[in-house]
Amino acid sequence: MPIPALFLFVLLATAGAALAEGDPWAPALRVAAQLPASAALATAALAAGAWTGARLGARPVGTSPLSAAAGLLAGAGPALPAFLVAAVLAALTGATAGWTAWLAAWASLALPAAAQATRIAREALTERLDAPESFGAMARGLPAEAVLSGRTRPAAVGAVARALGSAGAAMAAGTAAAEGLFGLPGAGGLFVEAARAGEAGLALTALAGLAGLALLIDAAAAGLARPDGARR
Amino acid sequence: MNLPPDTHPWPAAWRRLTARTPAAAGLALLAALLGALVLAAALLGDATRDPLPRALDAARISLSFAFLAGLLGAGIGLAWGLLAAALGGTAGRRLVETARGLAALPLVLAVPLAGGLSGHDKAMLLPAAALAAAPAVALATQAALRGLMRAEFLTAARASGATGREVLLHHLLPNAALPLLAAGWSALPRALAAEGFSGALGLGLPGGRAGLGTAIGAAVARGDAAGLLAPALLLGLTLWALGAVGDGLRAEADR
Repeated sequence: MPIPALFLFVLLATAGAALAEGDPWAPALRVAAQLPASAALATAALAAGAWTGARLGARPVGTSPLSAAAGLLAGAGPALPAFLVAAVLAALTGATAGWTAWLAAWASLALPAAAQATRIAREALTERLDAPESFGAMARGLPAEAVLSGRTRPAAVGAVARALGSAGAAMAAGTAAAEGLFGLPGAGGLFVEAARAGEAGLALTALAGLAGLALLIDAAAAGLARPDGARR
Repeated sequence: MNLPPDTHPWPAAWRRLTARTPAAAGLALLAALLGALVLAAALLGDATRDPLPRALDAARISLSFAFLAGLLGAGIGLAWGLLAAALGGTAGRRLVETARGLAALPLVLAVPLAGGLSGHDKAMLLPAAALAAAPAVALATQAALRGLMRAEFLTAARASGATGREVLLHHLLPNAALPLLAAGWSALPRALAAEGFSGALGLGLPGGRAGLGTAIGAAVARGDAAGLLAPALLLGLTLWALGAVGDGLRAEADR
């Protein structure tokens, strides 16, 4: 299903959910007003997580503390879904408003994104290092560091950039969890609040808004990754 | 065909899977967790108020939910992927495109939505978690089968005069079993994460003796960091173990 068709589906779902309410436009307007906060939180966390993960994962595997941290982060990734990190931080900080809550919500989204990016970058780095071209370059006398910086690191960073194109769904779900657990304003917080209150129209509208956010993140990330693919 | 014992595909695949450190650690962790759940249920009963046995009880409920929802999600996803591969052409492509489009949406949000709107009804939460996992399983199934259909050994079997039934039973199915198992396995961690996700938001399984997600959500609501430790650790470790085994299965299937 192409992205425009999905957008249309999301828009129709939003309109349908809004019409199901007594006041057809009120839920849609509430979600639209809250969506920018969710978009800012998700994109800031994804950008920071992907940048950190690409930097850590593109380091050669070794015994340095940074390399060990990268290994730990890449390995622990599946144990760190955003909702679990958010729950732990919410219980530890007790923050439900203000900058502490925003910072904790950002961290709970950025940490899983960084773990995923580190893992992807590491796998791409290892794959490229094991490729015959890398051995050939070293056999021709190119220093290992030059092979790393010129051939393998760009591949690792490119792999992370391409993977961002499918990160939207996880980021949108994580944003809902973080906003719900920290009591922050945003479409995610609105979704959780409406689901808890059993308000189907508002919950469905917020869900459609979050689905749109996921598609927007995917489309923006795919657009960012394309020039890298074209260069290579 | 009588193969020497060490060349039978399943024991060989098992040996290679357990030779992968993360997959072996994941399997050991899952075995230890299941053993602890059985022991806790047998020795402690339901009366205990200690955090660890209560967390183990919650883990048992979460894993039961994940197993049922995962099984249902894997079944739907496998059928979807098999149908797409069998139909091929435009119809098959449309089925794959639909799965790809749905997998791009935050489907896991349907689980807390179902929990909230149904008053935490398990009968609504379970299919929601299964349906949230199904598109990814369908995509993995179709990709695995597409790769297999182009494999040289199938062409060789057909060229050697094997009938369609022989190709299916002796060549395709034995080689498809591991990739399909890897595709279906991915529904388990997804279903467990969906239970944890909705429970942490207070929209999961009903209170009282509930799952890990609900225990986490209750601890967060109380601001009880110590009470959060056991369920969060158990959920994180179980997700890691399921993911590690899934990665190992995928790597073996891709060999």
